[in-house]
Amino acid sequence: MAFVKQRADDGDHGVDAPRHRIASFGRADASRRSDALLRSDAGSAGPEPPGGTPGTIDHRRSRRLGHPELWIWYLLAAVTYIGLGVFHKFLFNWFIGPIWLIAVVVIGPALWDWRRRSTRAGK
Amino acid sequence: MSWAAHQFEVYAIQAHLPKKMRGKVSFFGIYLGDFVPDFLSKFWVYGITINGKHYGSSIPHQWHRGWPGMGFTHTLFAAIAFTLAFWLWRRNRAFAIGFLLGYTAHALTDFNDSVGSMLLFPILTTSWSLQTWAYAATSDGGKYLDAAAYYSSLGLVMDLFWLAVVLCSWRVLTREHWRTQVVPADPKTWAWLGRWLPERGLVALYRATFFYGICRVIGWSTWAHFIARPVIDGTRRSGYPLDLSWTGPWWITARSLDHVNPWIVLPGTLMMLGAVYWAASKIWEPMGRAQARFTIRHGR
Repeated sequence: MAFVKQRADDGDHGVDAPRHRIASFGRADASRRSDALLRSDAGSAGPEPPGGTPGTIDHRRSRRLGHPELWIWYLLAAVTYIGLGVFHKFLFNWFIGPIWLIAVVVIGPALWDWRRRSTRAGK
Repeated sequence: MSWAAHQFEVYAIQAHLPKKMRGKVSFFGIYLGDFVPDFLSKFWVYGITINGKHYGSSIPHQWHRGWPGMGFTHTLFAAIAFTLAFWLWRRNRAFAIGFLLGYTAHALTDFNDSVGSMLLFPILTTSWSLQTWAYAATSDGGKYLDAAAYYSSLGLVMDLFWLAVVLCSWRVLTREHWRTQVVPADPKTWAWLGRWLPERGLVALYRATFFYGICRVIGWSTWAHFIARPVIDGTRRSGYPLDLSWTGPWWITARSLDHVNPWIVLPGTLMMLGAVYWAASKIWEPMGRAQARFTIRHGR
């Protein structure tokens, strides 16, 4: 009970300690904690990457994309979605739109990497 | 009604949270709050056609925004009632406040079209409408005519305005913002999603509503002005005519309901928006303390 009172007295928060700490610390620390959070839940035991730098591996051991490459995938998603949607308007839908982007950005680079690896292995 | 404005305002809220709430308000709460009003009411506005028979509302604007009808879904009363229900159920401050802000934004943004929303329901069932553009959802025209009218009127300007608001706060779309402000506010949900999606997928999920909004503006505008071949007043045209006049476009009859004097709508709505932000800010700390007590008592 004393604990409850003490938490209540500090005005804000007391909501849950880890979240409170994330908000209080600097951005870099919050960023590292986000990584740790995702990593722990995904069950991955690898070393923590340095602040989500492009080129490193994320919590699911997927490659982080650099800005230019990411832009290309987002642009591809937009062009294909708008291009098809204009002629098949049922695609302009709150469900299909977001799924389209996620599918292109997740599956596209994975397929691209797989193709590059198999081409290299073929040589 | 507003189209992509509802997608963009989710990020505008994220970018303009009071300082003490930054990094602590659930993005999913804001998104769901903004999504629920139309989710509950719009399915019957356009209706569905099965084997040539149309099922849907005979007076779509009355159903969507009026009373009797589902108009109560676009009110501050519903925003408060749903928020209260979520709060009593889960005692999750991050989600409840996010939901309240998202829902309020949706209800208030819809005051722009010719039908408006019943902002003071249930005290007053009269609509608050600025009549900026024509509400064009009809049982005959369906979604396509509605889209064509919206993107031929000041509705297009409204969408572009909200896009500009988000682009002026472009940092809200960055991976860094997602990592430092969005994930900490919703740790369990993002961690759960992280079991299936890589980081680039999670960030794409966060940005997906913005992406959908932009694609909607470009896609529907392109279709309405460059691809559609409508017949208006007996003349076949190449694209729907653009008309940026008040309560335009001229080629469709603006639907309307009994409404208050338009001159009091803008100041009244801004006051209501301010009141909701002020109230959210005032109840923030007490809700935090209540959540802490609930967490300890129930061991969550």
